[in-house]
Amino acid sequence: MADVEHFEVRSDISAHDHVMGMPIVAVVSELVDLLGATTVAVIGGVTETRAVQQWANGREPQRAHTLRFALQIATMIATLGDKHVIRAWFHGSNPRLEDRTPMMMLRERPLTEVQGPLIAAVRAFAARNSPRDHS
Amino acid sequence: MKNESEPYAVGSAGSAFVHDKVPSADIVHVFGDVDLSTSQEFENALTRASRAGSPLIIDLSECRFIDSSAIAVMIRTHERLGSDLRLVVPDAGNIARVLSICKLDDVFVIAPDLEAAVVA
Repeated sequence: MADVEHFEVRSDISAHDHVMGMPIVAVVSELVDLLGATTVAVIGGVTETRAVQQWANGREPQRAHTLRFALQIATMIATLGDKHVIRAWFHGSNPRLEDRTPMMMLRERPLTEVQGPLIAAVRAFAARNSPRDHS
Repeated sequence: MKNESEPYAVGSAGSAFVHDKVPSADIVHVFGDVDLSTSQEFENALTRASRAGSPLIIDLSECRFIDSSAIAVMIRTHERLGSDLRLVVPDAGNIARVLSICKLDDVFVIAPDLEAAVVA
């Protein structure tokens, strides 16, 4: 059974601040740890996991802003569950996003178009799944 | 120049194909829907990922839908690679049902997960 890890609790503001201050190499590394290289390749708009490895080794990704944003929302979700929850959220068809999957939205649409809906969807998810609700 | 408004990987709406390598095989992960609008990309991805003498695994565990054009691509790939082609198809899902209806579950080497496909 895969190890279950819980990450340091972060508010959405601190998730933003945490990610914005990171070098892109660290962003890629942390995203790969949370989502796996294949999912990062999908989000990053490439067709080879080799490209993800190159990013982790210092090559600048073309869609650095998208990857950074993906880590921001992954970090927000990490306050609510382990890696399996994070991956399920990115891969799952989301009714708050008109049944689209966040991973494919990040791949296919301009970042400026999807940031608002994805942040709203994560906040709604957090509101329903906050530990305070499980009493 | 980077352009955040245009994904630079070739792709159509609703699908993605990602090539990965493990020591014993090449893997093409399929995401979303593979239909007439994306089957050529699918075939291109499989062709690029194929290496002589090395197994090719098509991971359909995150594929939501395939149509006859996608099946034709897999059949052509099977004709080229034979038993070196393996599919990852979760049991009892839509893709498994389609392959069963088409009697292709006896043609392809099918595994329920990636780990099983790698060692098959």
